[in-house]
Parts: sequence; C-alpha cells; structure tokens
Amino acid sequence: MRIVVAEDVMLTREGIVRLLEGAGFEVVAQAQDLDGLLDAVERHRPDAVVTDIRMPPSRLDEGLIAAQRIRSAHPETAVLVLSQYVEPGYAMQMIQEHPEGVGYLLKERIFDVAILVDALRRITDGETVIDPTIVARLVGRKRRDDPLGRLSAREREVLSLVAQGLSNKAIASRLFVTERTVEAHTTQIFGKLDLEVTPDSHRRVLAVLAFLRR
Amino acid sequence: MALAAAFAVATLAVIDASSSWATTYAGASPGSLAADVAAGFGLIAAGGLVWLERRERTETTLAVLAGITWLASDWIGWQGGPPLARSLAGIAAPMTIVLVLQLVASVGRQRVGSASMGVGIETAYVAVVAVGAALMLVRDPRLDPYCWNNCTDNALLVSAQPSLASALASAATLVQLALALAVVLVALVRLAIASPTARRMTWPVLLPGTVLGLATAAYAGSLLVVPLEGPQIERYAALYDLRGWSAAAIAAGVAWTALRARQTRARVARLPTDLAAAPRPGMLAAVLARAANDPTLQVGYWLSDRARLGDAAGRTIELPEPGDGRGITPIVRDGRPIAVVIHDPDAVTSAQLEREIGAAALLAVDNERLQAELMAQLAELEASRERIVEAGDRERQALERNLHDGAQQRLVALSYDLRVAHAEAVESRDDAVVELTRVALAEVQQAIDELRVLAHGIYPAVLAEAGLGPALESLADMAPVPLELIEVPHKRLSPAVERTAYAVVAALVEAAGINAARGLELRISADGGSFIIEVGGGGDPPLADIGDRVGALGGQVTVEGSLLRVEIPCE
Repeated sequence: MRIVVAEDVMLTREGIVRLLEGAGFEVVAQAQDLDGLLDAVERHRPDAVVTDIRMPPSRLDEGLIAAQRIRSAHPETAVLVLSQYVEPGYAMQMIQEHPEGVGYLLKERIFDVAILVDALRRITDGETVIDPTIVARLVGRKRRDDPLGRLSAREREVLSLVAQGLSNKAIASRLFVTERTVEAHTTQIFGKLDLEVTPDSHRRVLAVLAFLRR
Repeated sequence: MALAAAFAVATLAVIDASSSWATTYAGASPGSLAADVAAGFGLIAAGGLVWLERRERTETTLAVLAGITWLASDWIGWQGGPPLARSLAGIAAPMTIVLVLQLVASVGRQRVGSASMGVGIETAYVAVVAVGAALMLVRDPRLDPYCWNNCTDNALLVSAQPSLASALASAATLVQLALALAVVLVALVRLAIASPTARRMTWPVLLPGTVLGLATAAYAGSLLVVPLEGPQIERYAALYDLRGWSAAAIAAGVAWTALRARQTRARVARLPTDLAAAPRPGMLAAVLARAANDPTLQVGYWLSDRARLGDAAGRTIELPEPGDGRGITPIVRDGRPIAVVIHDPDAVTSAQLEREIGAAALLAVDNERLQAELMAQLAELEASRERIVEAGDRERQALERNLHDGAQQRLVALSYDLRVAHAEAVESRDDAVVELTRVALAEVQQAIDELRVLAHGIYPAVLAEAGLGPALESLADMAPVPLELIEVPHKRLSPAVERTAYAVVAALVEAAGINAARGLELRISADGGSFIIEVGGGGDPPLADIGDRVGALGGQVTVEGSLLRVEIPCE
C-alpha cells in the first residue's frame, strides 16, 4: 500500500513513517503543510494519506480541509486524520460529505501498530473509522430520559462499534459472535432508538453519531 | 434715527408740493407713491429694527442710508424748494445702488466677504460721489435738454459746461449700470454657493436684491440709449415701481433677519429653564442647536487632561481645522477655556454666541463638563475592563496552543518511544522490561488524557475554530449533567461574544455539577441589538463571576427563579 504522510512536527512525522514502513507500507512522500500534502497527492496518487489535523498555514483544521478536497478529487485515495482533540464535531464534520474512506483517530492511538494497520485497511476498503474515545464520549453524554437506557449492555457495546465505523462482519469477529447475531442486535438497537436501518455501514455511522449528539 | 424719520415724513410734503409738476415719480401716480413710501420708509424702519434687535451698526447704517438716498430722488424734484437741498439730493440719490450692493455683499456675515470686495465697494462710493459732485459743478439745468426733475436750480453750479455735463451724466448712468449688474452678480453668486443654513438666512435680502439690480440695470441701460426719462413715460414709471417694491422687499428681508435674531435670543433665554427641566447629557448642545437653527452644532468640553475634547457623553470630539468652514467659539470661565461650541458660522456668529449665551449657559456648561468628564472616565474604565477580559482570553488561548504544540506533542512522542521499547522487550522476552514499559505506557496515556482535558478547560480550540455551537456541543458531551441545547445560533458571532457566552455556560455547567441539579436547558438567541442567553434549571450560579464577564461587554445578568438570563449588546 502506498502512503503519503503529512505532519509538521518532524519527530512525530518520522515516528509515523518508521511505524508504517515497519508494518510493510510504502511511504511515497512526506509533507509539512496543506499545500505540500495536496501536491504530493496529485503527484503520487497514493492509496492512503495519514495527516495531522493542525498544520501550517493557519494551524487550525487543515487536515479536515485536506480530507474533503482529496476525497472529492481522488475518491480512490483514503484519508486518515490524526488529532489531539477529542472533538466529535470535527469527526462529524469530516464524514458529513464523504463518509466512506475516511478516518479520525487520536494521535497517540496509531502508535499501536495493530490499530494503525487495521484503520488503514478499513478506510482503503471504503469503510469509516472513528476513534473509540470520541464514540465513548458521545455515548457517555448525559441526557434527560436517556434513550440509551433502553439498550442492554451488549447492545450498547454493538452501538459503540457501529459508531466507530465497523461493519457487521468486523463487529462479529471483534465480539466472537456470528454475523447474523450482530445483524439481530443492530436491528434491535435501531428499532429501540427509532433509527432507520441502513445496510450501508458508513451511512449508519453518520446516523448513529448524529443521534448521539441529538 | 429721529432725523431720518423726520426726513422721510418731510419727503411726503415735498412730493405733495411737486405733484402737479411731474418732477417726481411718486407724485405722478398713487401706485408709484405707494412703492416710493414702501421702499424709503421700509428701509429706514428696517434699519431701526436692526438697531433695536441686534445693535448692528453697519447694517443699521446701510439700511437707513439706503432709505434716505432712495427718498432723495423726490427732493430733486421739489419745485420751489431750496436749490441747495435739490442739488445735494442729486448727489445723494445715485448712492442707493452702492448701499444695496454693500448690504447684499454683507448680509448674514460680519464683513462684505473678501478684501477686494471691500475695496470695490469703497471705490464705488467714491466714484458715485465724485461723478455726482462733478456733474453738479458744471451742470446748468436750464441748458440740459434732457432735464426732467430739476430744470431750474443748481446751487452748486460753478461754471456751466453743457457738453462736459452731458458726458458726466452719461458716466453717472454707466456707473449705475455697472453697480446694478454687480448687485445681481454678487446676490446670485452668494445664493449659489451658500450652505443651506446660510441660504435660509440670506435669501430674503438676496432675492429682492437681484430684482432691484436687474430693474436698475434696465433703467440705466435704457437711459444710455436715450437719456430722457420721466413719470409720463410708461416704461420708466413701471421700472420705478419695480425698483421701489423690490427695495421695499429688501427692507422686509432685513427686518425678518433682525426678528429671527430676536427669536434666537428668546430661545436661548429659555435655556436655563429647559436645562433645569430635563438635565440630561447633550441637552445644552441640543438646545443651542435648536436656538441657532443649526443641527450640526456641537458643544465640546475640555476634559481634565486638556488634551482632548469630549461631548456630554464623554465621547471624543475632533476640533475642526481652521479654514474648513466651521465656526469655533470658545467658552471661557475665569480666563480658562472650558468648552467650545462648534457651529455653522453662517447660522450663528461667534459674536452672537458669546454675547447671547455666554452668561446664560455658563452654569449648564459647568454641569455638563463635569458630566462629560465622568462619562469619559467611565468609558475609559469600561474599555479597560473589556481589554482585561480580552487579554485574559488571549492568554488562555496562547496557553492552550502552547500545551498542544509543546507538552502534548512531547508526551505523544514519548508514548511512541515507549511502544518501541515495549515491542523490543516483548521480542527479547525480557519480562521485567515488558511489565515496566506496559505500566509506563498506561501512565503516559493517562497523562495525555488529563492534559487534553486540562487544555480543553483552559480554552477550547473548537470555539475559535468552529464557533459557539460546536463548542457548546462539545461542552454538553463532557458535562456532568444533561445540557440541552434547545436553541443555539449557527452563524459565527464576534469572538468576544462567543467567548463570553461559552464562559457563562461553562460556569453554569460547573456550578450545576457541584449542586447536582437535574439538568440545564440552554437557549441562545439574537434579538435586535442584543444577544440573549437563557439557562434554565441551574443550581447556584456564580453570579459575581458571570456578572464581571458579561459586564465587560456592557451586558446584564438577571435571575428569575431558576432561570438565568444574560443579555449582551452586540452591534
């Protein structure tokens, strides 16, 4: 898999590159800012981009801008945005227009090689990846007459995995159950929460996240 | 004044005595008599009124002399009258047009305008008198083929020179023509370039001045062609009436301006009562503006640092540059300038202001100056309060950014190194190091999480980057009690308002958490010029903190039961 890495702090960038290369990925280019990243994508047409959310020039949300532009111009390139912020709003903004083939992870998360490899595989397969911490914060949000109270512990667990962007198959292997059982759970959950069931796993990520923020 | 009145009355007798001879226009028809009386009496009376109302020496003199010289033409034709009086009247009568010229040039202002205009008018006086006097010295009326009003006497005759007299008579007519055209020109130019205020003040004189100038020009022009005139010639009789009535209209205009000054003074005299009735800041300027009929009038007070002028609300006023057409009248107390009135010099002159309002308004000026001083200090205090809050916000934002770019990055890098060490230890089956690095990794992750929460608490980056709505959503995600965002604006607001709104809600959330309230309901709306935050269900809110924060933006906090309402004015 060919990858472009964008991160303005040299140490972190080199760490990410070493991790990726150690895991058998090919890093075709490195960028330090928004323009450099977009240039590199034009030139190398990579399978995936790993980018920091805060980069020059404005050091605000260049990563999100990059994700949107790259996903519109090159749908074959997946984008993984790394951030220090546990901000569900950023993740939701990112998947609003192109929910497939993008991911939002906390920066330290990817130093676990297994998580990094899994995330890259999933987004290049067109899935969505949302950091578990963000999902946990949304699920943990205090509500009056909390509709999540109607869910069983298992159902909450499945809901969290759905919100993280996992497909039924991935959830099944994560929970050591059959795919059919997961399907039954999701139907049950969506029914209890009055959500429309959609077979499309990245569409349902958006629906669940929006529900959790309601 | 009494002499002028006596002269005017005497003129009536002169006209009456000469009526059968057709040597005066006034004696020839009742219509002309009316025009004659209206012009002569009117001008003298207008001069008297100016004197009574304004003690304006120049304008008084001009109007009275214009009336006298106007009536002088009747004295020329005094059949059987003293020859000397008739001759002197012959010199005086042509002066009317010069007097009107000076009146037209100077009405509504202190001087005639430019220095060259002054020289021109002086020259005109000399020319008219010189030509008139010279004519008298050489004109023998019995040898004048065109004589009409005085064909018998000339007390000033030294040597009869018919051809020289005829030339001088033409010269006198030419001077009349030139002066008449000058009146028209000056009046029209002044009407054209005047400010609206000035035009309002001067048109009653300038407009009839133009008509008189045109009528006089027509009269003089006609005389240049054939120098024979008289009331029996219809054209001349009509022109005489027109000149008479327009001169009368000038008199009315002069009287009107004098009466306007009385109105102004009357309004200003009511000033102390008005100010006592409703002493609010800016009252003095409003009252003066109304009195002077000048909506642009401002009163500026010297603030205690002497470096700047403030209006009654303490806002800084710029002193106009000299020469940009604004009148500046200082108000002095005990030899110290304490205020200035900035006004349209055409609407009210500095002399008028000083004379008529100085004493009456001094108390009000003192009061308002103190108030201006207070308001200026208050404004300064408010600005400084806002700056302090803003500086605090800036500091917090910088601190958050430093944490993000510094400590948080380093901890993330450290967690990477630990993971590498951990992986190596696992590979070399060094169980002690595996355990050590596992614990260290957990510790580092804990530190990263805590630092993240700390940084967000210091300043949520999402507030500056995405706005109030996303920041409040984020706050609700983490709040220890339900925070329901029932209404939140989608569009971006000014950074100060966004930061304040967020700080208020965050403080309420924190207070609610401590007091274990059931949950908060938040409504944020924009209503006209203000921005309203309503939070229901809060426990025991830190009102002093919230008040400080909101007060820095000029806002207010009110509490009704469990509903806290914050109102922040926004432009």
